[in-house]
Amino acid sequence: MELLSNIAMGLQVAVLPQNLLFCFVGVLLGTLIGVLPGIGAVATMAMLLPITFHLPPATSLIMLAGIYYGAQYGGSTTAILVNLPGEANSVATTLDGYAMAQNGRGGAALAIAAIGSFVAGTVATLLISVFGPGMAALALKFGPVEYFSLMLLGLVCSMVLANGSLFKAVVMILFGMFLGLAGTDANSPMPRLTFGVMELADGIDFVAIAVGLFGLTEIMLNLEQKPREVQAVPMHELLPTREELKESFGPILRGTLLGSVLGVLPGGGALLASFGAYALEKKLSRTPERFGKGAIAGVAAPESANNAGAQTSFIPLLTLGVPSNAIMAVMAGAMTIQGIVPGPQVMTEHATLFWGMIASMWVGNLMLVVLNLPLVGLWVKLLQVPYRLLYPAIVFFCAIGIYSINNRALDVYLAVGIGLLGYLMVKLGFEATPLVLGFILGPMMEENFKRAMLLSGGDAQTFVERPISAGLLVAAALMLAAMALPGVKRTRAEALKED
Amino acid sequence: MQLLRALAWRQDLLAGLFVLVLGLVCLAAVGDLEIGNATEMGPGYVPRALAWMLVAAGTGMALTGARRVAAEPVAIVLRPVLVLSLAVLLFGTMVDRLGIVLAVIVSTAVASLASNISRRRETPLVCAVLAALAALVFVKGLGLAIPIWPR
Repeated sequence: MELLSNIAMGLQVAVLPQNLLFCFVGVLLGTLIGVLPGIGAVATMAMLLPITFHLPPATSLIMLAGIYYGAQYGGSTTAILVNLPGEANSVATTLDGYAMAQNGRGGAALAIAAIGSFVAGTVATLLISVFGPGMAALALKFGPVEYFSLMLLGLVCSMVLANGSLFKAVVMILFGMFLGLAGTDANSPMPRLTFGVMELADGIDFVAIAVGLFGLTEIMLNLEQKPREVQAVPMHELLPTREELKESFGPILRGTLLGSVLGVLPGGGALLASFGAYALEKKLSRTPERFGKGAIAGVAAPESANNAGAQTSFIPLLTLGVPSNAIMAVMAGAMTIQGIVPGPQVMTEHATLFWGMIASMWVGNLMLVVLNLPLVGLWVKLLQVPYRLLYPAIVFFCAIGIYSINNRALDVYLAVGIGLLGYLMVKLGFEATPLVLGFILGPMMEENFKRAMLLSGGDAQTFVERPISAGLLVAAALMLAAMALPGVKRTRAEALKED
Repeated sequence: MQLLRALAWRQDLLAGLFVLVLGLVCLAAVGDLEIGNATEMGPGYVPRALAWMLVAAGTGMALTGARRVAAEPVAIVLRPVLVLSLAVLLFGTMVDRLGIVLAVIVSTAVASLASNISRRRETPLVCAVLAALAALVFVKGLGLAIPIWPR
């Protein structure tokens, strides 16, 4: 019953007054930015990163994690009542959620979304505590060869799951890796790729990348469009009928399972999970024609899936030390700020932190149900804040967030440059996410690649000779090969086009 | 102008050129960093490989996409891009010496020029609220080491 004692230890940490408070702050902020379209969890967490320096490690991670899964809840509110995805992950929910709201069942849709998210959050939290230790034990056996192959598999996954062209995703990964390599590398004392700028000796700060790409670029693009009239559908009763509850039971469970699995995949996370779950329910349903017209399964499944995926995407970071998406990269950054190296040793060396964070996710999910259901009217009011008032505030948070990492102007200039680059990228059909993944994984891959080659005396065959590594590489090759099949290609295009 | 307009329809060509330029800048950044060999790689080994891959990819994209015409032209709206960049740059240059209050007021005022959805009457209020927020919450409350007033 080690599991129970671990969870008990975690709960003790999670209910410390300070941790409860910051968990609440996190989920509140998360709900807020989740409700508001135009600002996402990555940018928010990145901006707050410098502030977390002053908090104890567990508290800061608890707050940041709260922002992430809080945003999943908030995003569904906007999706259901306004037909706008407050968060990219809630795109699938707009399809049936808004239709339900128009049919006068908006309250029920919100309630089911919250219940589904809570169930998913609970199950995913349990899954992390069950499978986490095993994964970490496996990871301890990994050498540089295995780590390199694992990260390569991760990048291939993220390419396959990227929305646009595969080739463009590869290019962005390569460029991201290059940016990640700037600064001092581990084996030589001289800074590299800095054009002689001394302040760049520590490399480009991740916050500058995240705030540039997910903050500034986003505003530049938003201001090109006419501000959208936000019209919330009025809501009558909050309680779902017995019938609706019964109909949601299966979708919630299936969504949770699918989301949990997809969340672990690199580059996957919550977005893919929600679309996958929606498609699955439509396929399984005896009345697929009701989807898009207010089928409750079309709300229950993606909402459960995105919350489960949000939660299980912590597994690769906490057990392997490999962040699987931009959010997890911010979490890795937060851990590094606190002097904790992400990886399998977190669970043993910082056991209270690990289990405290896991337990706090469950506590936070409970808070979110309370926050989101009775207070839904408040969140809808918030949506009435027009973008003309909102965007100067976002610019303000971006600017302060970047500056306060190191208190120097250079980071601000870098973020502006990256924001401009991001704008051009979007205009030319490139995506930001592969770049960010390349940026994070690049230095780790180079390091492990170099070490592996040193150990094997310059023989690249070492990557296929070691069984675990070979298995990972075969998996990567199979994924790429599958992409070439016409059927898979078509399904991928269909699954991702609605974004 | 006519050339630009014709180019705007060729998204693939532009994307290829964009990547090519990125690759060339990367190559310039690598300079003459030591390459080493496969067993003992120097600091320039991987970066140089990446930069050349970018150059190759960009060239390939530009060549294969040179004749393809996109469904919609690449449209760039300069005003928000330039004005927002300026606003944030100003914040960066001012905040250290002139303090956070002035920096926030100036950058917010500039940022509100980025689009004509802003209403001029509201701008002073937005500036004041954000400046107060910066000084009270971020500096006093959260203890960021940023001066409030000019020093």
